[in-house]
Formats: sequence, structure tokens, C-alpha cells
Amino acid sequence: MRNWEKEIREHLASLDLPPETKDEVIAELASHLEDLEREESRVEDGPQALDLSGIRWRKFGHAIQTAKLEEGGMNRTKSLWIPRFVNLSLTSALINICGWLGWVNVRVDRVDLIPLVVGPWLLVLPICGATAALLAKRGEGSRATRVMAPVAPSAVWFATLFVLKLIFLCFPQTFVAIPVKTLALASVGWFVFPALALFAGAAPFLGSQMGRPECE
Amino acid sequence: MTKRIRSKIARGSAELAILSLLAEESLYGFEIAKQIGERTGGALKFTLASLYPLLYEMEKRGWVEAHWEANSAGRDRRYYRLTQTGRRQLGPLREEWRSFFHALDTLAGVSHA
Repeated sequence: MRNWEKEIREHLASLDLPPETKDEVIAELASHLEDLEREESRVEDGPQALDLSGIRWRKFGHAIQTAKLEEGGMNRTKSLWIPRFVNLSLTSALINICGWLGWVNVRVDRVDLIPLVVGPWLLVLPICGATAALLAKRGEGSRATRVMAPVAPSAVWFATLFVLKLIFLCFPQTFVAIPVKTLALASVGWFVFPALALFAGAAPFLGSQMGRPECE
Repeated sequence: MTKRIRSKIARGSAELAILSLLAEESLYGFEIAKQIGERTGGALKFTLASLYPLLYEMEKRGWVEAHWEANSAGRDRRYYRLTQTGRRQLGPLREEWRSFFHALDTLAGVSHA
């Protein structure tokens, strides 16, 4: 009899589910194919090779993932919204603490300097990223969720900058226009660098699905 | 008939078929597919890829619940059982399909069994 579990695991390698859920799905599908193989061999009065070429594994995996993961609001809250909120609060609190200690001097007229002046803050961001990823993991979040929750604050800051630029464009008489180049540099400071720092903290919690124990 | 409507009909009929079977007894995936195939004379067929996403979806909605049972002949099997919520879905679903076939019958002379 074929090693169905191994075959299914290979076909559904990209299935992004919590390890125990993925193991359970693979075990169940393997059990189904084993029964099917046994049944077909019995009906045909001899060993039969099952043909799985008709299965579109990518689509199948996506359907399983959607059915298993996009759960009720409560799980989504636990795996994504709470980690995001905690992360945003932590990062915001930390930048204020850095400012209070005199480590950070964010000047609106020198937004291009932000990557430099918020250096100490960037150094502590991996802790926030790690916290968010850990919370998302505990909430049984998928790998995508464990990436989204940690980098969420940088997306918020990026969106804020975008809105600011729109306001400046809409009311040029009221606001001193900030050049596009300056805003681009600020985007690097507020989005790229923080996102990298947050992601660095989250990284250890993203690869946990590798090396999981094989299910029997 | 658009692909969307066909897909909805297929999904609805599959849900009704599974719920009806599980209303009688707890079954595991392979047995559900096998019984549906046999009882409908092959008119309704479930493949690996069509059955499990639907079962997981129904489990998520709380219509069915699953548990593992040991199997002396091979791998353990995951049995599905109808919950009270699932049982409550069955009546309205049956009624919907009855109305659907009645409407088709009126319109096109397609009578249901």
C-alpha cells in the first residue's frame, strides 16, 4: 500500500495551518485514500493503483485552508486583531518613552531625518514584532496572520503618511507642502525600517510548521 | 445557468445529502462518500477534493462535530456526527429543495422523486 500520508504531505506542503490541524487533515485524507484503495482492490478483485492526477492540489489546499481557518470572529480576533492592537499600542508607547527620555526628536519639518532620529526606537521594535507574532501563534493564526500582525504598525504609519500627503496636496495654501522626495524618505523611515525591525522579531515564530512531528 | 448558480445548487445539494446521512448515524469521510454514491446510483459523487472542504466548513459552522475512532483494519478514522444545530438546519434545507423541485416541476415538468 502506498504511503498516502507522505504523498499528501508533499502535495499539500504549502497548506498554512497550525501544525496539529495540518497533521489531522493529512491523517484524515490518508485514511480516506487508504480505504478507497482497499475498496477498489476488493471490487476489482486485485490491487488497484489510485489515480490522483485529477486532483488540483493547490485549489484543494486553498479550499481546506479557507474552511479550516477563516473561522468565526472570535478566532480572528484572537489571532489577528488583538496581536495587532497590542503591537500598535506597544510601539506607540515605546516611541513616546524614547521621546520622553530624549532619545528621539521627531520634527515634522524634518521628516526625512526620521530614520536617523528614531534609531533607538527601531532597536526595540523586534520585541514588539515578537510579541505580536507570539500572540498570533497562540491564537492559532496562520503564517500569513503571524506576518500581518507584527508588521501592522508600520502599515498604519505608512497609511498616515499617505493621508498627510493627500491633505497637503488638497490644501496647499494652508499647509507648507512637503516635497515628494522628503515623503519618500519618510516612508522608508516609517514603513520599511520599522517593518524590517518588526519582522526580524517575528521571524522565529513564523517557521514553526517546519519539522513538526509526523502523525501516525 | 451561470456557473455561480450551478455551484450554489451543487453545494446546497451536497450539504443536504451529508446532513441527511449523518442524521441516521455517525460516519467517517470515506463512508459518507461511498453511501451517497451508492444511494443515489452514482448521480451524486464526492471526491476527496469536494468532500473534505465541505465537511470542514460544516464543522466550522457547528452543524457537525468530529472525533477519532480506532480502526483495527488500518488507520484511525475521523467520524462525523450531526449536532443539534445541524439537525435544525436539515428541516429548512429539505423544505428549500422541495420548493425548488416543485418550482422546476411547475415550470418544466421536472418532477422530483
